Amino acid sequence: MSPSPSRSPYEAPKIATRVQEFGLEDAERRSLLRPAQVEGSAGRNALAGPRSGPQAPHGYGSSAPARPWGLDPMIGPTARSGITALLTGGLLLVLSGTLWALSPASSVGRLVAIGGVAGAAIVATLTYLSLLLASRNRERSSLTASNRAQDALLDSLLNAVDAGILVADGGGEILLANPSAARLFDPASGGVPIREWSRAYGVFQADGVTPCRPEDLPLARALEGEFVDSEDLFVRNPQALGGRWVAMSAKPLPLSPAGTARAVVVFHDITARRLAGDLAEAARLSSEAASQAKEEFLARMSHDLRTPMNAIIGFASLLAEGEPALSAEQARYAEYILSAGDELLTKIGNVLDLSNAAAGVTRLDYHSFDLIQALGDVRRSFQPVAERFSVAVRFTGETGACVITADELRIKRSLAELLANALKFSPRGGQVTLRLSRREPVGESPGDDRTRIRVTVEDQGNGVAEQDQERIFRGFEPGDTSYASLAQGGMGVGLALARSFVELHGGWVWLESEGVAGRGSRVHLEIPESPGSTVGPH
Amino acid sequence: VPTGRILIVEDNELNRALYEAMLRPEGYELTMATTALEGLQLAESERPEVILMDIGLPVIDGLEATRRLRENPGNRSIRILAVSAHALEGDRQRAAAAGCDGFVSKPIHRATLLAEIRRQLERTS
Repeated sequence: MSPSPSRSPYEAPKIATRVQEFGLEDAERRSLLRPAQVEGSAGRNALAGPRSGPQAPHGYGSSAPARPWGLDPMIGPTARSGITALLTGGLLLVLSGTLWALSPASSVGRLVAIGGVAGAAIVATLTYLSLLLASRNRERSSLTASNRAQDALLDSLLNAVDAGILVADGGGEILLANPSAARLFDPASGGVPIREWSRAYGVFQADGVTPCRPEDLPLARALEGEFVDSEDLFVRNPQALGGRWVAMSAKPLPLSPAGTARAVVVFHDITARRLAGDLAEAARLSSEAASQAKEEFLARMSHDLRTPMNAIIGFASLLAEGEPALSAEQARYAEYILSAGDELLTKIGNVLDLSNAAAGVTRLDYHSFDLIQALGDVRRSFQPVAERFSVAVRFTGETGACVITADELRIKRSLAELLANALKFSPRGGQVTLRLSRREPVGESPGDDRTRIRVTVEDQGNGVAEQDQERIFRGFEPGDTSYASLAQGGMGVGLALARSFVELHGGWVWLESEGVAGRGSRVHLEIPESPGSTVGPH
Repeated sequence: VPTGRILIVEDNELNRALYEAMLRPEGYELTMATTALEGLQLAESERPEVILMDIGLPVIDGLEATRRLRENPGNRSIRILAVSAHALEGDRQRAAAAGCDGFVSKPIHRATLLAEIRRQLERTS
């Protein structure tokens, strides 16, 4: 896209406009522009004549071409006429003196000589005046030179800034527009009445679709004397077909010598920022919508799966209770249906809970409770199972109360899953130990100064080999659908659920085992004592 | 034998049959509604003492139906038992906030249901 050497310098602004519409970075735009400017517009400036190129603003500045300093042509004619007058005067004086000397007294010759002297005097006066004028001109001319130097500085400044700067008068005439402004507001189409500006230049409100009312246009308001501070607007016109968002300010300027109102408009292109913001907003909305959709789906799923279970379990329990009266065998079958139904319902619950946690739609219900008491409740609820398995459940560690702030139901659920797992893999006559300990924050977990509570569930089973220690916390093994793996899968759901519930609290569940028969395994559940600042209530 | 008029608002046919099987032998007078709107009409016409209101009804859910019913002060004496299959922690509180007097979760256990209905009937008399 680098311009060819033969490219006319007047094409540079077109490139600028196109590049900007493609949303390239300013640095890229500048680097693309530079060759064209260096090659074509060296020595040309934006303040030069109105038709020195589309980039130059309309009707601004003088069209005087640059001249070498020190040779002021304004001095020339006056000085030359002064020197001529001086020579003429001198010649007249010499001629008059000669005539006076040669002529007899009161002769015509003497009169002529007097006239010559007077003429010389007049010439001298003229010379003086012309020299005076020449010096005045020289002063004025050096003033013009310093003005021009300032103009050049101002010009390069206006060229350099990314902000669009535009001066217009009450008649809608664009008096100045730097290149950045000219990209959006074509100075060549100036003279549009202010009331027509919004429509003519395609100015919209920040939503990008509602036209900006003529009286709301910052320029129009500044022409009325108002100071407008950074208003977001959208501009879409033939020069910016994709449209640009701008932050526009406007201020009134002193009246023109002719007494018309003038105002300056300054704007920044904020399109990139706007688009980035829109993208972030869209991403946020879509993530919220996705989360809500997942939550709704899971709630519906939960309802749809549980509804028929209610009928299955309800009727089976009626039959099992002997209503109507059944034979012993029929009653036993009804018990089986009931038992399988309960198991199925629990599994449905587990899968849905796990899905909810994975989908990030689980809301923890934080409140303070005594963890030791909760552990006691869980232990009691497993008493019948433990007795059936002939396993003793023992509690050691902290005594008294251990108050934590967490979701009590979900923590109890997690503890129950850990205990169920330990009982399931304990040998008959074995022992399961529940141990509670406080872990002070010192050096334990950098960046987290909360006290953590650890519950360890220790069994005396065969333990878990190291390579399987993480697998048992996964609800299922992706890619592994062998029947053996599927059959074992049921074991993992409970532990996976416990881990995800505890993880939601900012804690973790993990297993420690040597994988040696009889040495069992230790499953640790560790949670912060309170949600603290890092994990707030959801 | 306890008596009482019970309105059951339940969209699932098998679950309505289960209520029949559990409650008819107890001598209750049962009226069945399959939607919330039908339930609201029957509540006005049949004047039941207790309503078993399923929360998870389509279109208008049981909580909204309860709120609408409670708008009429004449229905204040009707005891409403919310029945939920969700078993979510917030359900009980939401049901109470909507104006329900009690809460039963599915799967329904006959003993629990009968005890809860008896408790509500005692409070009306």
